Amino acid sequence: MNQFEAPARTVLTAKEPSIEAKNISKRYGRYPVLDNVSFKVLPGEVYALAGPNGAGKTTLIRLITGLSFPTSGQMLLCGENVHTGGSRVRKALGAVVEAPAAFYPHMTGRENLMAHAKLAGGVGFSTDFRNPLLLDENRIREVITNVELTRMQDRFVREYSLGQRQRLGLAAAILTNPRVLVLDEPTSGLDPLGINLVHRVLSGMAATGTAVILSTHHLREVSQYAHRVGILSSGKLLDEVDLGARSTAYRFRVDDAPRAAAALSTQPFVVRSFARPPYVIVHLDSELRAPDAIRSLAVEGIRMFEANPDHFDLYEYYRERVEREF
Amino acid sequence: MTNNIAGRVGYGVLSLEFRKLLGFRSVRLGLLVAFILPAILTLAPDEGIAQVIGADVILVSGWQVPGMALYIMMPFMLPLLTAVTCAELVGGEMDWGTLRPLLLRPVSRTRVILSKLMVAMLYPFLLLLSTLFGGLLVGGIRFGLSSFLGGTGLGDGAFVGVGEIAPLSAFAELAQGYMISGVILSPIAVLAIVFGVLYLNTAAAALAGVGTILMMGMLKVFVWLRPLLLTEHLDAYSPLRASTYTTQQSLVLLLIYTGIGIIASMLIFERKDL
Repeated sequence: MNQFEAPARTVLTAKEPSIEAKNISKRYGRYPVLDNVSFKVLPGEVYALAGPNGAGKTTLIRLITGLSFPTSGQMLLCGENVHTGGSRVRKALGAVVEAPAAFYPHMTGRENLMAHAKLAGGVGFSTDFRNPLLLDENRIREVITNVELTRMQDRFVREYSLGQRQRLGLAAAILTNPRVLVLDEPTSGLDPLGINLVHRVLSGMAATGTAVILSTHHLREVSQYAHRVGILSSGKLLDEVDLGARSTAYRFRVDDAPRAAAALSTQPFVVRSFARPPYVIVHLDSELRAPDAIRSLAVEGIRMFEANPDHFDLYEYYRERVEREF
Repeated sequence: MTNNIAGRVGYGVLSLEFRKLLGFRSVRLGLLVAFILPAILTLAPDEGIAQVIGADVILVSGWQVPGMALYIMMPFMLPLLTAVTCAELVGGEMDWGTLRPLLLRPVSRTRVILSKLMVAMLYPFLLLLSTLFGGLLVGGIRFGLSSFLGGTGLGDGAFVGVGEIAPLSAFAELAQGYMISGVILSPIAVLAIVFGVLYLNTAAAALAGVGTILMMGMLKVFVWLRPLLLTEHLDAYSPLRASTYTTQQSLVLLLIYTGIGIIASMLIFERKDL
């Protein structure tokens, strides 16, 4: 990625949500875990659930997948209620709800995936009805290769490291090319290369139209590829941050930041600009306008030493938002 | 094609459950114990065996060893092995964390729990088969498996018998006695699954299963309740039983218990938060 390039995010146009939570509440006895949570995730969108421990993220993930039942409200996957629509609703679903992902320890990684393929009915999702996605040896080999576990595929899962089990979990989740991908802490226990692999796979799935929802504590990582972040605290959805709308900000290191801010503010493609010496921060109406902004500074005789995307600091925003709640 | 897929899924769940069963350490240990216990029991003096069984026993034939082993193992060992392992069918999956991934696939909860129940009810038969072959093996080596004067312990006249018995008849008596024992252990297997689904924990479910059986044993102080107590029918395989119930009556009640357990576990599992 060059320095002017904003993080790659697909353009979302579809209207029908792949995941829709409608006023979901969950209580264990008298203790409320989730309170009237509503949100939507569109096809091709990556939605991250963030929140402190005990916020209700895992409970929400289990409700989305149909493993737990809401006290009130509805959870829809591709328009169908996951709790009343029968097992066929889960044909659209791929998920990892344990961290680390759980498998039968006395079976090899490949055998575990074969078992998953059988349980999925032997056929995955394909847009081409004449050419269904068969969950055969080739498909299993493909997903194992995608998560870089080829050398481990014939070893018993009990011999896998934590990170390898996480990657095998991801392989199982994407096996059927699901329309909805739900992941609880997918990068937990992974090394930097493993984390990067998860990001790559999830972004790739989202690019093909899969709606991805994941819970995470790694906010700076997830802000690089998520479209939206839902901040959950004490069982309530406090806020939804649209990261896509915040990705067209740039930071230029210049010799005169206040003058640069004033000069940029006169440009029609600039939404907002302000000085943060030695930087000037500029919000553009399109990331394609970055070269125009640089050109306009040059025209004003302002010297520029460095230009970078000004990433929205999700972590700082999250901290401020959660602290405000308490 | 849909039907084929459904069929494949059904087969997939059942075969997976069976494979999981054989993967449990408790199952392998249980089958081994069931296989070698008859050999250990044949080392005991006839008087000791007679005292435990409560009848005259003089082992003269290999065909008597599986019957003798059944009398000694049925009151506690086989129900215990059945309860622990069947509790593990659900609890073990929770420990491994594999129950949730299983239910994320397009397989109904009913199908999953029915597969577990089928495998659970099969397990006592595997244990009994292991005991039967273990008994025949050691009995054959020690006493031979030819015709003999006496009984297998599971037919008319118990171990004394009603005259000479041919190998084929002896095997038929043993097969019938062992089959009835399998049916007797079925409600215990199902009860362990019910508690497994309720507690999602092997130890709690096994304890609850064994505890329930022990409590039923105590409840026989209420005479009017006896006909309904599972424990009053656990010796239905035995021609030596002092009970007033016929084998058929006992089997019907045990099947009713099994049916109630199956329905209870299905209903609980269908809406269980996981």
